[in-house]
Amino acid sequence: MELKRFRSSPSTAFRVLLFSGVLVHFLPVVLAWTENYGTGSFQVSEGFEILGGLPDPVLKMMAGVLVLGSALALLGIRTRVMAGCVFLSAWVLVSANSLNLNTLGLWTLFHLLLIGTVLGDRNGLNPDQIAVASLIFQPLISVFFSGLEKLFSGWVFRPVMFSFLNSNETVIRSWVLHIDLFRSRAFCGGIQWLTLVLEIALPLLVWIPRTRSISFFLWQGFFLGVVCTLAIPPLFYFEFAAAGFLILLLPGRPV
Amino acid sequence: METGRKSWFQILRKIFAWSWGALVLLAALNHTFLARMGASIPVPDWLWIARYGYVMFNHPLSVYDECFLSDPAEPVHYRKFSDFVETRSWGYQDSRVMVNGKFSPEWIWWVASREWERRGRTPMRFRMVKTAPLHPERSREIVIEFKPELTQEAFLDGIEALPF
Repeated sequence: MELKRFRSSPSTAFRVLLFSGVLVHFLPVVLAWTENYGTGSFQVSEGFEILGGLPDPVLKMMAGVLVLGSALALLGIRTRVMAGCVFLSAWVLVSANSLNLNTLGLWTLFHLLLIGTVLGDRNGLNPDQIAVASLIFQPLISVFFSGLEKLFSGWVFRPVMFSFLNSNETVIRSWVLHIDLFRSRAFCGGIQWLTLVLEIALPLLVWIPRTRSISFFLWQGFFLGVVCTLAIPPLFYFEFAAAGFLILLLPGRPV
Repeated sequence: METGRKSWFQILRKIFAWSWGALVLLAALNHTFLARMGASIPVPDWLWIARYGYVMFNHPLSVYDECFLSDPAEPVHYRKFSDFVETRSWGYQDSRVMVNGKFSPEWIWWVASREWERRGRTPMRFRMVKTAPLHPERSREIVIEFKPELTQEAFLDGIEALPF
C-alpha cells in the first residue's frame, strides 16, 4: 500500500471526513437491522422512492457494500469507484427506509459523492481544479442561499435564535440548557447576527486569496459551533467540515 | 490517440461540471427568488437532483414544529416522543418524529402503540402537544386515551383533529 495515500493534504482530509461522516450516519441504522429493515419495522421512503421495494438479501448486500466501500474510500483505496458504490448503496438503503436516515444533509452528501465519482481522478478523490471547483461550489452555494433565506425570513429583526434556543429542547444539545448565557437575548442576538453574516460572507470570501485563510478557520469554527449547539445529525458537520478543506485547494495562494 | 481520448474525457468532465453548477444555481435562485415573486420554474420529478438540490435552503426554522408526549403518571414532565423507543441512532432521534419536516401520523401510532403493548395494553393517556417555537399562538394539544378498544383508525382520526 502506498504511504502517499495517507499524506496530510486538504484532499485527504476531505476524503477521510466525508466517508467518516457516511459511516457515522449509516452504521447505527445498519447495525440495528431488525429495527429498521426487519419485518414489522416502520418504514418510510419519502422522497427516495426511486430504488425502493428491493428484497431483503439485496438490501443486506447493499449495506455491506456501503460499509466496506466507505471504509476502503476512507483509506484511499479505489476511492472514486467506492464513492460511486457508496452513492448507490446509500440511495438504496434510504429508499427502503429513510426514517432514521433522512436529513437535509443527505442531499449534500449525495451531491458530493456523485460529483466525486464523475470528476475525481482515477486515484480517487484527489481532485483537480475542476473537481475542486465543483465540489466546493455545492456546499458554498447551500450556505450562501441558507443565509439569504434567513435574511428574507426575518432574521435581521426577530429574536429567532433566542426563541430557538429557549423553547425547543429537542433540537439543541443538552449542555446548552445549563449555560445561562444562552438565556441572554443580547448573546443570542449576537450569534444570530454572526450566523447571518458568516453564511452570506464566507462563501464569497473564500474566493479571495487574501481572505481565504481566515475564511477557512471561520468556516470550520462555524460548523463546529453549529453541531455542538444544535442536535443535528453529525453527518451535517462531517460533510461541511470536509468541504471546508477544499477551500485550501482553490487557485491562488492564500495569504 | 491517447491524447485525443483524454481531451474528449476532459470536455465531458467540463460539460458535467458546468451543467451541474448551473443546475444547482438555478434551483437555488428558483427557490429563493423566483418562488417569492410567484414565478418559480416547475421542476419535473425525474430531475431529482434539481428538485432536491435546493432542499438545504428550505430552512425549517420558521415553521418548525415538535411533538411531545406526556405520561399521565408524570403529567407535567414532557418527554420527547422518540424517548419511548430504544434508539441506537447517534444524536438525531428527532428524525424519528420528523420526516422531511413533517409529522407522520402512522409513525406516531407505531411508537405509541409499541409503548402501549410494552405496558400490557393497560389504559394509558397520551397528551400530545404540537409546538411552534417561533409561532406560540399556533401551539395545539390533543389527548388520546389508549383503551383496549382503540384502533389504529380511531387513533389516526384523533391525530387528524390536531391541525398539523
